[in-house]
Amino acid sequence: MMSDKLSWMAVFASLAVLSALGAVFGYAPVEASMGIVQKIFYFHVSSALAAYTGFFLCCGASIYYLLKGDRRADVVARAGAEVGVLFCTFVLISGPLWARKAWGTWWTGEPRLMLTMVAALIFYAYVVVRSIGGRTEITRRICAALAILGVADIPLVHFAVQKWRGNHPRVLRNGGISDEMEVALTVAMLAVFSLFTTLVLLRIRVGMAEEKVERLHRLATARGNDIEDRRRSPLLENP
Amino acid sequence: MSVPHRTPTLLRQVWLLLQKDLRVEMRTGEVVATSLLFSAVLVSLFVFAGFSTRKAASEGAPGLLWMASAFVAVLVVTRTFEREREDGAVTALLLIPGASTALFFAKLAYNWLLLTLVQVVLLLLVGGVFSVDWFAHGFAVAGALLLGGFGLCAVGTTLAALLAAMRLREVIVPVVLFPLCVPLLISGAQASVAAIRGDSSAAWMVTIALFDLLFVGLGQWLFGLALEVAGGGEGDSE
Amino acid sequence: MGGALRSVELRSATRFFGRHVALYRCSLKLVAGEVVAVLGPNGAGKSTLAGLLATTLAPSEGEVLADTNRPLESSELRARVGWVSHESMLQRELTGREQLALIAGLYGVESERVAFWLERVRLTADADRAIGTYSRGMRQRLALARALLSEPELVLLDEPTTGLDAASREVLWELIGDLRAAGRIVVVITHDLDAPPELFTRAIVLSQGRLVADRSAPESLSALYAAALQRVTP
Repeated sequence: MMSDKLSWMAVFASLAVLSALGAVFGYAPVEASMGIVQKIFYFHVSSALAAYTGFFLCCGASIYYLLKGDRRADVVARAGAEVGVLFCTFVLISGPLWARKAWGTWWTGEPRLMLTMVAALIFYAYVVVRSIGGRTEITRRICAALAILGVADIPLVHFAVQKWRGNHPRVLRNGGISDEMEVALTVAMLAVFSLFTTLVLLRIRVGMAEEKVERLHRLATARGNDIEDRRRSPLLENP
Repeated sequence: MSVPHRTPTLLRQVWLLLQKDLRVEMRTGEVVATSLLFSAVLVSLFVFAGFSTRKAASEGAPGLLWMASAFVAVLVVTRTFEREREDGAVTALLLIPGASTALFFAKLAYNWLLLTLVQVVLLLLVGGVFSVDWFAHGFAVAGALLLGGFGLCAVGTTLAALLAAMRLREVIVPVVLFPLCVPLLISGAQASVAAIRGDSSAAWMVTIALFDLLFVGLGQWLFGLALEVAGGGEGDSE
Repeated sequence: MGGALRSVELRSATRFFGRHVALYRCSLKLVAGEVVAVLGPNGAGKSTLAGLLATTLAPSEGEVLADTNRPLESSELRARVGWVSHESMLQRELTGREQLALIAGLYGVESERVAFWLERVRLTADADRAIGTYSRGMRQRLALARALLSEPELVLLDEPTTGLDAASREVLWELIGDLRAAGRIVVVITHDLDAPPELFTRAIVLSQGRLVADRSAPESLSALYAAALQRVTP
């Protein structure tokens, strides 16, 4: 059963998150200049990757939905977008915290942070349109289109922001991290991605359940009418 | 009594639809008048907000010009299908072979034309208020504005079609349009800044052109798909 | 364009809107020369049926076929549909003549046909006034002209008598007679049970998304309607 597998997945994700916390706070050394705030780095980077994974998953599923009309693809797209937005929000909160400590200001023109903000805005809009539009075919298509437009926009935003701000001297560099930090980063990455996968799968399951409720509801209406069908055959002349 | 149809070319269909919209606009003048008024109000807000009295006012002018363009674009674009939707005229157009593609290009051309008209006025107003002589710096500013306006309209026209039947459309169109157009705003403003400084703005222009191409292509594809459902008239209840 | 459209067929066509079942397993074959009256109470699925035939709605299940094998949704076939829906599908700011000229131009129909159709629906005198100033009946007649301008082979008329006075109705019945003689497929959705039954070669009744009655050469629309609905709601 899917639910069993998913439970194990959830257990695994919890353990991974716990060990990641252990690795980040217990194993990796406290960075000299940044102090404890540097710990943000491990989860910040992996959450950013998870967020983009969610957005790209959403875009891929949306293209498939538009081409094939498969409702399951729409459910996957929605899950990718919603979980992606969740991780993206964390990135946008942890980013300024980092910036405050590292550069003494909450917001900088750091290119990757600006790119993430644009992506977040587009997918926040996606989620809002979903909830305003309700469960209709128009909404599904609108959102699929938004996801495609949004993801197509990402390389352009990246390029423009890099060119505009790329020569900025205060770009975050990952070079020069110690081996312990690298181990901690790997564990954090694994933890965030197992959490991400669990959440996406859970959201997909909820979505599939919603689809099933809708189908059963229609079937119930249709069945009720079937009983009447037998009584009215005499008037159906043209077979 | 069958009448032979000579399937018209795409260009002819686009022209017919564009002509129709222009004729209606000339008759009512609604969109042009309100958009011009809006841009005048916007520029006066810039003045009252103190932008024009700052030291490096002319450095900030291109950014404001682009912001104003984006606002006006929203105003123009959200009304794209208002008239056609009123009595379901879109549905009649969708039954015609090739007309949905023609409709996209006609609406894009129409919106671009209106936006350009308003941008000319904006250019003069902002130039006057911030004492910037745009044309002293070559045609880079105007060129970027023209090209960028096309991109704004390409995305905007697509969104207008997608969101035509949506509740709260007036809010959602800008909420989606602005983030999508961030590359345009950056490139457009930077192209103008570079031109004013006397640097080359070619790389920024290329970025704008790339944006235009990408979104005209995607827009054309998604537009058809969106109207397929939204124009069905029946809507999709529940 | 290929040869004339000989038939249109719904095969177990079902259409859902969310949880709502608008049309359920409807099978129906319409052949050239038929004029079919579609009757049924509000919400019975009549307009959904029209949408499916016009290909602006896709069936959730089942198929819509033309000439028994080709799917109707390809744009080549969509071009053969003429549709008067509950919306006028006209743009108020245009004049009657401009509206027809636009549609004719987009279809690639000779522009002389515009004057012909304006005359046919008796709107020549008002052709250069904005549609927004038209009365309901005038708009309905113009909508008819708009739908028939491209010489469609499948004509869908959804409540065509709405707002029409007695004289305009005569025009409508006349037009339907011509279409029948020309071998078109005509589907007339109507609440107007007093419409002359000899006009129709066939009548069907829908109720709750189901086809509940289907009769050739109906003698009386109201009698058929009453009989059909009695069976559904005893």
